[in-house]
Amino acid sequence: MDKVDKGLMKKLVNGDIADDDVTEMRRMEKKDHERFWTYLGVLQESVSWNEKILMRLNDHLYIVAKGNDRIVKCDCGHELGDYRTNWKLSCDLRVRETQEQVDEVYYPAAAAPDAAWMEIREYFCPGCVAQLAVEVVPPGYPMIFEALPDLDRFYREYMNRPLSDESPEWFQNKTVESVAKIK
Amino acid sequence: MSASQEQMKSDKKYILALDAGGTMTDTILVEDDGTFTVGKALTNKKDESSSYLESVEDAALSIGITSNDAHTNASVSIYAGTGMLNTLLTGTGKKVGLLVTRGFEDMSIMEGGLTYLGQTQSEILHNQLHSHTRPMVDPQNVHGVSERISGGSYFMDKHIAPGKVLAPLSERHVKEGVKKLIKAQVEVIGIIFINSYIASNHEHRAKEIALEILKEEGIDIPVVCSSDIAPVSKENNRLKSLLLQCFAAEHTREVILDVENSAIKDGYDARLLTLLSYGGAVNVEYPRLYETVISGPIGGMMGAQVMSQKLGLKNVCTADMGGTSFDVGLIVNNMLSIRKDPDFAGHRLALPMVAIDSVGSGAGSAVWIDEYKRLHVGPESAGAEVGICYKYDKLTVTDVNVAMGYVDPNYFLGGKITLDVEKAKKALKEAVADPLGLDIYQAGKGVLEVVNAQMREAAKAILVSKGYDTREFTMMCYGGAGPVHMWGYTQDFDLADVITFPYAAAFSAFGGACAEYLHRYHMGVVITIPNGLDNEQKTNIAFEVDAAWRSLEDKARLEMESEGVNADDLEYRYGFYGRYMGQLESFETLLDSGHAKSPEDLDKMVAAFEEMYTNIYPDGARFPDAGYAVTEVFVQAVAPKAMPKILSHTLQGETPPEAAYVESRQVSHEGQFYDFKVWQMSELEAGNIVHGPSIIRDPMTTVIIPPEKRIEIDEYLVLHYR
Amino acid sequence: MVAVMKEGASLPVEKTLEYKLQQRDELYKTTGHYWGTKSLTLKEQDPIKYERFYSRIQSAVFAAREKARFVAASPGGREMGESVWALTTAEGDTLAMSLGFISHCAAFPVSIKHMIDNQFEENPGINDGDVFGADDPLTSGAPHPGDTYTLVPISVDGEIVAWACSVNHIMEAGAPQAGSWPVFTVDTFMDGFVFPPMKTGENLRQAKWWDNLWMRRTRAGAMNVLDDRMRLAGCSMIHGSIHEIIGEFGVEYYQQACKEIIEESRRMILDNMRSTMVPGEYEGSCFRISMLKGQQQIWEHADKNELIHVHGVLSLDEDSRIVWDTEGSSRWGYHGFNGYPGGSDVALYLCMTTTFAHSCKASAGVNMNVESIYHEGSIYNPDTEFAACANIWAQSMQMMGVAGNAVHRNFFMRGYLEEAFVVDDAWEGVQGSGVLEDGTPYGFTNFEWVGGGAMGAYSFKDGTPTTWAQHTQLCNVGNSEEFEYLIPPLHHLGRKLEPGLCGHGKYRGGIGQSSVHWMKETGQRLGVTRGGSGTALSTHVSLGMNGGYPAPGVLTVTAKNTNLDEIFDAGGDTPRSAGELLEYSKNGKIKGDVTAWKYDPPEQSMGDNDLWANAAGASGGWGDPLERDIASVVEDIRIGQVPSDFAKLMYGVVAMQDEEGVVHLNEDETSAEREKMIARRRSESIPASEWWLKEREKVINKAMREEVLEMYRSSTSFKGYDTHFKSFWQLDEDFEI
Repeated sequence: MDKVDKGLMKKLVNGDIADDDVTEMRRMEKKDHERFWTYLGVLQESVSWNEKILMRLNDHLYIVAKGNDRIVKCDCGHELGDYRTNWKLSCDLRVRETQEQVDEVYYPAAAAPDAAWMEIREYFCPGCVAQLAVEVVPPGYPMIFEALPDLDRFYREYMNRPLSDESPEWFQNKTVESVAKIK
Repeated sequence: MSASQEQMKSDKKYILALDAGGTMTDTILVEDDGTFTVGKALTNKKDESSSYLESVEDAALSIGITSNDAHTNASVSIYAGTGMLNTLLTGTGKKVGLLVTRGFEDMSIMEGGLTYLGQTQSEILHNQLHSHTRPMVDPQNVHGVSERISGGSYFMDKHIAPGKVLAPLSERHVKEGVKKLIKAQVEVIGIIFINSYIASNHEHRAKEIALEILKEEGIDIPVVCSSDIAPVSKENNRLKSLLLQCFAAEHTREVILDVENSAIKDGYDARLLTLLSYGGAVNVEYPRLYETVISGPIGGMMGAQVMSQKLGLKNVCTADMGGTSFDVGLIVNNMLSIRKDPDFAGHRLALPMVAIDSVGSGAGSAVWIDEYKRLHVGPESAGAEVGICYKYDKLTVTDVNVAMGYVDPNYFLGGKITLDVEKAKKALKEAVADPLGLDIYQAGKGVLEVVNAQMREAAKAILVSKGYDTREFTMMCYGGAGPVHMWGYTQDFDLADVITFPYAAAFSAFGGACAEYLHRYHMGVVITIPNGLDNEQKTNIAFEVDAAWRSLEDKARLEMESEGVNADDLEYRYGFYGRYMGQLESFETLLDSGHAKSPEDLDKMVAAFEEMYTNIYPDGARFPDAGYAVTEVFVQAVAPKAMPKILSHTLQGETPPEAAYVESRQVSHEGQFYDFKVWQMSELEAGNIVHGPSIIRDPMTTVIIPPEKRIEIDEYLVLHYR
Repeated sequence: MVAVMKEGASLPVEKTLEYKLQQRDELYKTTGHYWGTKSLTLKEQDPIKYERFYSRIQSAVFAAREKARFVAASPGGREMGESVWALTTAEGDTLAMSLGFISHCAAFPVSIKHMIDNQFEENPGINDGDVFGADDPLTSGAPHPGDTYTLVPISVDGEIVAWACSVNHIMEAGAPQAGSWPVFTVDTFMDGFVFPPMKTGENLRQAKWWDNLWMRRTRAGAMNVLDDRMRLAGCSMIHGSIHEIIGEFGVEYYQQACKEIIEESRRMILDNMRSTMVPGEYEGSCFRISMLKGQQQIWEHADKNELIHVHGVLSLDEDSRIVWDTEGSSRWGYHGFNGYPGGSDVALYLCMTTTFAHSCKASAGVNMNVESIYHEGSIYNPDTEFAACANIWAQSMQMMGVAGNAVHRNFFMRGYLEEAFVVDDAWEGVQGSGVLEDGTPYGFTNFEWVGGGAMGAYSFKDGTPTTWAQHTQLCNVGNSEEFEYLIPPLHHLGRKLEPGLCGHGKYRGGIGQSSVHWMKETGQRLGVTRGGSGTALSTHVSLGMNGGYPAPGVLTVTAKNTNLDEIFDAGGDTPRSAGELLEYSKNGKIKGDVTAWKYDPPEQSMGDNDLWANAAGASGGWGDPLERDIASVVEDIRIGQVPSDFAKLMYGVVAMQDEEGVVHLNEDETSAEREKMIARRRSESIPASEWWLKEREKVINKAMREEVLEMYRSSTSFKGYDTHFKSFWQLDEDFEI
C-alpha cells in the first residue's frame, strides 16, 4: 500500500476498519504525505457545520477558520474560543476529589489514584457533554495545554500550501490573557 | 544405517516420496536401480489426496507405468503435507477446552508476550506491528484447577525437591471444569499444569477424572496431557505444543488417513509415512502428530544427511533456494542441528525441530528501489507467476536471470513455458537501471549481487553465530533456483566444497524418501554436578542418568510396537542437555554411549559438554567453577525402513560426450558478455568435467558455471562446483 | 596536543581518540552534518557495495546476540530483551545494533568520552581486545547500576577504529536493599556495586579479580559472572567479525562508510519526523510519589515523602528536530529516583528510536535529531556527583510515556491514526534476599512484569494485553517455571490478567497483569521489596488521551498468616490476582493480615504461606467511555476482562453473566443508565472559569498537603516553570508557595 484512499480513511476514522488494512498501513515504506488532506476531507464531511477545518485536535475538537479567527469547535457545533487559549478553559469541569469519587473510575478500586494526593479532572463540552479530556493531577496544578500547533509553519513548510492569513500572531499562547480576564 | 541396508532386500521395487508445498506437490519415484523420476502437480489444499494421486501419476507416466503399477510395487510412500499450517492460518481446527493450573487461566491470551515472532528487524522495531496470534482456544473454555508441584530450584537439594506436591490436586475443580467444557461442547480437552514436565501425576489424575465423567456422559473426545505431548520446561511453549496437538493434529491425521486410503485404493499395501519436524518418518498412528507441523523443508535436510553419509562429509551447510525463500540448515558431525523452541506461524513451540533459517529471497522475489535509492529484494514474491517475463506484474529475480541470459526463456520447465525476455529487460531498465543511473546489465549485476549477498550472509550468519569455521563445511545447493545462484551465493565464501544434484529441483521430496523411521524421546530431569564430587556421588548421578535412558527406551519400545515396528530391530542414540550451574539455556550434548554406571562415565559426559561448549563459544565464555547441571536426557529410536540406493557409476572420461552439448549462448556475467556453452544434464556422465563459461540445463533447473570455474561429476552423479 | 605513546611507537595525533572526538563535535557544530559529511560519496559511487558493507556489519552484530545470549544466567539477558550488542565508532556513536534494549546506545558515547577525557589512552591504555566495564550513571551513561556495560576496543595498527559494546540488566546490584532497583537509597553510596569505566580484562578475557568482585560485592555473584561472560562473548564475536570486514574493505573505506551510515540515518530520521509531526508545543506531565517518611530514620535528611513532578514540553526546532524540555521537573533528592543526562536519554530515546528509526539503519542517527534539555539541579541533571539513581526507571519510563504521547498526538493530528496509541506501561519488579535453611544466602529479582505490558488504546481500537515493552522490542514475560527455578521460595499462585485494570475509555487500554507469589520454605529468612515504576498513589501519566482515563499505577498487596492450608483442603479456591486477594479477604474467603500498598512497601519479612501480589502493566484508554460500543462491553464481560458491576459504573452498560457464562444485556436499563450518567455530568460539573477562581483560592491559601506544596516549591525554583505557574494562577511575582 502506498496511499490511503478516502474510503479506507473513513473506516479508520470510524473505527470499523479491518486489522489487515491497518497492518498494511503500518507497513507502508513511507507515510503518504497527502494523508492529511484525505483526513481533513473525511472529517469535514462528517460534521454538520461549514467552517473550514484546519486541524483536528481531539476526537471531537477541531481548529476551524471562522471569519478572521481560528477557533476550536466541537463536532456538536459548540465553540470553545481562540485555539491559542487552552480550550479547557471553555469546558465544563467535574473534579473527583473524594476517594469514593475516584474509585468509581478505576478497577480494582485499590489501584485507583489516592485522593489525598491527586484529583481527577474531567473536562466536558458544554454543548454535548462529551468527555474531552481527563487529568489526574495534584490540587493547584495548572491545566495542561495539550497542543498549540504552529499552523502557519505547518501549512507552509510541511504541506506546501500556505494559509491565506499568515501572521506571527498565530503562534502565541494566549491562555494567560484569558485567565487574566476571568480574574 | 545398517538396519536400513537389510531392508533393501524388499521385493518391492519402488519408493515413492512426495513433498506437498504451497503451490506444487513434487513426487520422487525411486526405482530399484536407484534412478529417480520426478513428478509434479498443483497442490489441492481442499483435497490433498487428489493432488497426491496426480503427482504420483505424473511421475509414473514418465517411466511408462501407471500410478497403480507404482503403488502396487511401492515398498513405501512418504508424504509431507501442508495441512497443519493451513489449519492454523484458517483457524479451522477443533474446538478446544483447557484445564490449567489455577491462576494461569490467561496463558493462551498472554502468550508470554511473544507478539513479534517471525518478524523482520524493522518490523520488530516498529511496536505498532506487534500483535497476538489468533488464539487456539476460546478464553471462556479455559478453567483453573488448584494444584501445585515443585519444579525444584537452582539451589537443588538445599531447597524443595523437584516433584514435591505443594498443593493437592483439587478434584472438585477438575470435575466442575470438565462439566463446563462438556456443556460448551468442546471437541477435545487439553490439560496443562505448572511443572508437570517434572512430575505428571496431577495431570494424569485429572485426565482419569475427566475420562470418567466423559464416560458417564457417554461422550467420546480425546483428553491430552502436556506432559505426554512435550515434557519439557517453560509452560508457555508447552501450552502451544499442547494446543497445536489439540487444535490441529487431529485434523491433519484425517488428511493423511485420507491420502493413505486413496493410495491403498490405488494398490498400495503399506502404511503411508509422514515426516517429523525433527527429522524421521512416522505413520499416522504416531500419538504426537503435531510434531509433523513442519515437514516439507525437513525432507531436504534428511536427503542432505543421507548424501553427506554417502559422500563421507561430516559437516554440511544446506542451501535450499526456491521461489519464495532461501532456507539454510546445518549438519554437524553427521547430525542435524535441532532447535528446541522454534517459532512457527507466530507460536513458540516446545518441540525439537530441525534448525532451518530462512531469508525472504527466492527466484520469485520482487526487486524494487525505495526513495532513498536502496535496492530491495522480497519479501513479496511472484510464486507460480514467475515474474514479469511470465504472469507477474513486478520485476523478479528470475526476470533478471532471464534478462542477463542465465536462464533460457525457451527451456523453462523443459519448454512447457516460454518466457518474454524483452519484457524482463524493459522492467529491469525501468525499475532499477534508470533510477540508479546504470545500464541494464550493470543494474542486473547489482541486483544479483544483493540477492546473492543476502543469501550468503544468511548462510554465514547461521554458521558463524554457532561459532563454526566455514572452511569445515560443504555446501549442498538445491531447490529449483539453487543451481542458478550457486555461483553467486558461494562467492568469496571459504567453504570445503560446493555440490549440487541433477535432481536438485525435487531434492526435498528425494529427502523424504531417505528419512529414517525415527522417534525422539525427552525427559526433563534436575541433576547437578558440582565440582569436587567423590566417586560415590558421581556413581549415583551416573545411575540416575542411566535409569532415565532406560525408561525412555521402554517408552520407545512400547510406542513403536504399537505402530507396528518390531522392537528388536530398534537402534538407539543417546544424549543430554547440559549447562553451567546458573545458566538458563541448556545445550544439546551427544554421546557415543548410552550407558552411565561409573564415575568415569559421568566425567565423560562433562568432557563431552565442555567440548561442545568450546566449539560454540570463545574461551572467555567458559565458567567451569560454577559446576554443571543436566536438565534433560533424550534417546532417539530408529526402526528399519526402505531406503533409496545411491548408485555408484563407473567414471567415464573428463570430456563430456558430444551428445551432451546443446548450443552456446551469450550471457552478461559480472559486467561483461561471455559465450556460455549449454549442456544437457541427462546426457552428462560420471567423471565428466564441465568447464565454465557453461550452463547445464535440465527441465527442472539450470546450473550456471562462470568462467574459470568448473563442475566435476563424481561416481554418484553429484556435481562438484570448483 | 601530545601524541600518545604506544608500544614505543607514537600514534599520529589525528589517529587519537581525543582528536577524533574533538573533530566530530567541531564538524557537526559547524556543518550540521555528522563529521561534516555533506555528501554520501561511497554510497553514491557504489550503492551496492555500500549496502553490502552495511549488511556485513549488521549481521555480525545480530549474530553476536543470537549466539551470546544463551550464555546468560538471567532470563532478561537471554530472551526477555534486557540486553543489547552494538558496534560503535571510535567516539562511541552506534553503527549497528542487535535486537534488545537498543536505546542504551545513548550511553556508549558517555562511557567512551569519559575514558577519553581522563586520558585512558595513556593510562591504562586502550588496546585491541581490551575489556572495559562500567555501570556508574554519572560517568558511563548507565541509567542505574542494574544496567551493566562491557566495551571492547577494536584497533588497526594502534588506531582505535571501533568499539564492540554490550549491556544487560543483571539480577542483583549489591546495594543495601537487595535486587535490581533499590528504592531505599539515599546517595550513590547506597546504589550498590557502582563502578565508572575501568579496564577489567585483556585479550578478550576478564581478569580473575573481576570475577571475584562480582562474587563478593553482589548477592548473585555466579549469575552476574555468567551475564558478564555473555556480554563479553558477544563483543568478542563482533571484534572478530569487524577485523575480518576491515581486512576485506580496507580501513579507509571502513571509517568513511561508518560516517556515511550515521549521516544517512540522521537524514532519514529527520525526514520521518518532518513527515509525521506538526510543529508546535505539546505539554505533558506525570507524578511519582516517594514515601520514605519514617522509613529512613537512620538517614534523617532522607526521611521524608516527596511528590516527584515530571514536566515536559515537546516542540520542533527550525530544522524539525525534536526538542524535549523538562523544565519544571522536580529537583533531585535523597532518593533512588534521580538520573543523570546519559541515563535519562536512554529512557527518552526508547520511544524516539522505535517511532522514527524503525525504517532505516538503526544507528546513532537518533541522537542527533533529539535534543533533550535537562536543567541543572533537576532530577535529570543533579548538581551533585553523589545523587542516587538506583531506580531512575521508576519515573523515567513515565517521562518517556509523556513524550511518547505527545508524539502520538501529532500522528493523530496528521491522520496517521494507525500509529497513534496511548503510551504507558507501568512495569513492576519483585526483588529481595534470603537465607536458606542451611545458611545459603541469595539475592534475586523477578522482572516478569518488566518483560512486557499492555499496549494502550488507539483512536479506533482497544489496547491489547502483554503486547509490548517500552524498553525493548522483544516483549517477553518469561515463564513461571523458570522464575521459580531461580527464586526458590516464590511460587506463582496466580500469573494472569487483572480484570478491569486499565485506563478506560471509548476504546479501553490493554488489561494489566497480576502475579500472586506464594512463599514456601522461606528458610532462615526472606525479605521482599518491589522495584517498580509509579505506584497506585498516582496514575502512570497525568493526562488521559482525548477523554480516556490514563492507566493506573502499580498496586502491591501482601498477605501474612494466611489460612491457605485450610483453603487447599477445602478444594483450593485460592486468590489468583492482587484484586481477587483483596476481594477474598473482604468477603472472608481468605483469612490473614492482608495489606494493600499504594506506595513502595518497606522490606517485608515473609514466611511460609505468606503472599506477595502485584498488579501492573496496565495501559491507557482513548476517548469518552460513554461512547464505547455496547457489544464490546458485553464481550469484555463474557471473557472476564471487565466485571459487570464495574461495566455499569464506567460504561452505563447493564448486563449479567449467568452460570454458563452467557451474558444477558438489559437494553432498556442500559440506555436509561447512560442517560442518567449524561445528566450527572451536567449537574456535577461547573464552568472552568468558576473552577479556576476556586482552585486559585486553594493555591493562594496553600490549601493542600505539605508534599504538594513542596513539589511546587521545587518546580518553581526553575525560572521558566515559575513564570508558567504564577501566570496561570495570576499570582504576584513575589508570591511564595
